[in-house]
Amino acid sequence: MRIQSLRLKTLRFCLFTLLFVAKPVYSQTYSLSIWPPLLEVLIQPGRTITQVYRLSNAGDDQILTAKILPFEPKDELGNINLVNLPKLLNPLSFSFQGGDVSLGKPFILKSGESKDLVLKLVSPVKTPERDFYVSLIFETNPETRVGLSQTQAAAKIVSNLLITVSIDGQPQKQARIIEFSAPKIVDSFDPVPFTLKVENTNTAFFKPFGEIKIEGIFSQKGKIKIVPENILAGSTRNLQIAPWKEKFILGPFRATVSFTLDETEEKLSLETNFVALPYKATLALIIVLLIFQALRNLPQKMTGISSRQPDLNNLEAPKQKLEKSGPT
Amino acid sequence: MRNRKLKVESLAFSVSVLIFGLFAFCLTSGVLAAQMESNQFKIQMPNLNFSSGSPSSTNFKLGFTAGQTGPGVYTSTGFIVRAGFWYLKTIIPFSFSVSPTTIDFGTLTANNPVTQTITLTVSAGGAGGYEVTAQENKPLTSSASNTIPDTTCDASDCDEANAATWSQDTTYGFGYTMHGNDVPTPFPTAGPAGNLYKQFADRSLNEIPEAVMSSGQVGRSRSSTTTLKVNISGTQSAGTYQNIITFIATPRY
Repeated sequence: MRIQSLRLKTLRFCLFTLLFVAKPVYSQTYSLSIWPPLLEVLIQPGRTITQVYRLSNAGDDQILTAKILPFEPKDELGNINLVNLPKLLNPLSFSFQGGDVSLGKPFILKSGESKDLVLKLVSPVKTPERDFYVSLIFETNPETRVGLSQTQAAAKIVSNLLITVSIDGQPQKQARIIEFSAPKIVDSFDPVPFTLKVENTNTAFFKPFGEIKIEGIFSQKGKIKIVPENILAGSTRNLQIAPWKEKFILGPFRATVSFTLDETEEKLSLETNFVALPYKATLALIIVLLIFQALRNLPQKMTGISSRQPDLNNLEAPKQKLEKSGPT
Repeated sequence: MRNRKLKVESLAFSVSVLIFGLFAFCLTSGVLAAQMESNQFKIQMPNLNFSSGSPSSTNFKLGFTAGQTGPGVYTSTGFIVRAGFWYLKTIIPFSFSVSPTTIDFGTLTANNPVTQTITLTVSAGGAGGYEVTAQENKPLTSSASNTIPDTTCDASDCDEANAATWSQDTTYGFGYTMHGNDVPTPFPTAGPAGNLYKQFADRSLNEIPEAVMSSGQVGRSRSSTTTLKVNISGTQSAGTYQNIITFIATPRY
C-alpha cells in the first residue's frame, strides 16, 4: 500500500515536471550539407534520369522543405538569383523517387542524420531544345515564439542543376570574347593579372577549354590554363584567371587567349599586349641614389662650415700685433 | 580403397577451400574503406567513383567527371549527367551553418541599444565559390502591427545596399553589421565589427536579398559574425516585436 502511494507520488511529480517546468526545446543550430552542389545534365526530350542527393544534418533536428525553383545568373561571377516562378521550368517535371520525402512537403532530418534523396527528372517528348537552370532548395520553417521580441533565422541551402535539352546531344554553342586584357605596364617582379570576359550568345551553356599563352621579346614564355567555369546561355562570365607569376620579366609581351567551347571544334582567340618594366625597383633605386647623393653632399657642406670657422691659432697673431704695438 | 582415397582428396579440397576463404576474408576485410586525407584536405566520404580521360559514345562526348556518392556517372543514349565541379574533382559537400537560429532581444528600453550576434559558416570545398544572401520578411513587427523600422543610421545615409555609421543612442531602428571571412565591403575581416550598419533587404518591399558572404575561391569553414542591433525611442509602442531573416547559401555555378 505504501509502495503504491509512493509510485503515485512519483507519477504526479513527473507529470507536474513535464507540464509546468519543462520548457519547449527549439533548434538553435542549423548545419546542413549537400552533395552534389552542382549537376550538369544533357538530356533528350522523352527521357528520364535520376540523381542521388546526399543531405546531412550536423546541427539540431530540423524540419525541412525541399523546393525546385528556376534561377537566373545574378552577375558575371557565377552567383544566382532565385526566380519564384516554377512555371518557367515547364514542361520538365521533378520529384523524389522512393523514400518519405516529397517536394513541397515538410520532413524531419534529425541531428546527425543523412538522407540519400533520389531526384527524378522527366523531360517530356515535347520539351523544347534549350537550357533550364534549376535550384534544388532545402529550407527551414522557423517557428515564432509568443511573448519575446526576437528575430528568427531561417536558412536555405541550394544545389544547382544546369539542364540542356537537346535531341541530337550536340547543341549549338556560340560565344564571343567581351574583354581580354592585362595592365598596359606591369612591374617586372609582380604577377601579371588578366581579365577575360566571355559572353554566351546561344541557348546552351558551355565551359571554355583552353589557355593563355604569353611570349616576350626576350624569349620569355608562359602559359595559364583557363578554369573551365560554366557560362550560361545569354550571359557573360568574368572568368577567374590565375595571375602569371615569374621571378622577373622584362620588355614587351604578347598574350594570346584561345579556347574551345566545351570540347567542340568552335574556337575563340584574342590577343593583348603589355610591357614589363622594373619600375618599382627603378623608383626605389632613384630614391636610394638621391638619398646617397644628399648624404654625400652633407659632409661637404659640413666641411664648408668648418672652413669658415675662425682659426684659433690665427687669432693669436693680431693679439700679438696689438701687444707689440703697445699703447699709443 | 579407391573410394577412401577419393574421400580423403575431397576432404583435403574442402579444407583447402575453407582455409583459402578464411585467408581471403581476413585480407580483404581490413581494406574496405580507405582513409583519404592529406595536410590540405580530407575526403569525408571515401567512396570515390571517379572516371577519367574523355569517355565518349557515338552520340555524346564528355571529359573528366568527378565522382559522386550515389550512382556512378550516367552515360547512355539519351542523357549525360555530370555531378560536381569539372575542375575540382572532390566530393566534399557544400555545407552551411547558422547559429543561433533564435535571437532574443529581451525587454527593449528607450535609448538603450541591444545587440545580438549570429555566426554563419560555409564550407565550399566541393564548389567553385559561393554566396550567402540575407533578407528579412518584414521589419520587426508587433502583433498589433506596430513596427520598429529599419535603421537609416546616424546621418540617414544607410539602407540595404549601403552601410553607414550608427553610434548614437538617439538613432533608432533595426540593422546589422558584420565581420569575418568573405564579408562585403566596408565590413572588416577582423573583429570587432565597428559602427558601420546596414538594413536587411525587406521582402515585404520587394527588395532583393543582399550578399552577406561571397567568395570565388574554394574554402572550408569560412565564418562570419553578424551583429544585429535594435534601438527604440520613448514613443515606441509597447509589445513584442518579431521578424524572420532568411539566409540563403548557394554554390556558384
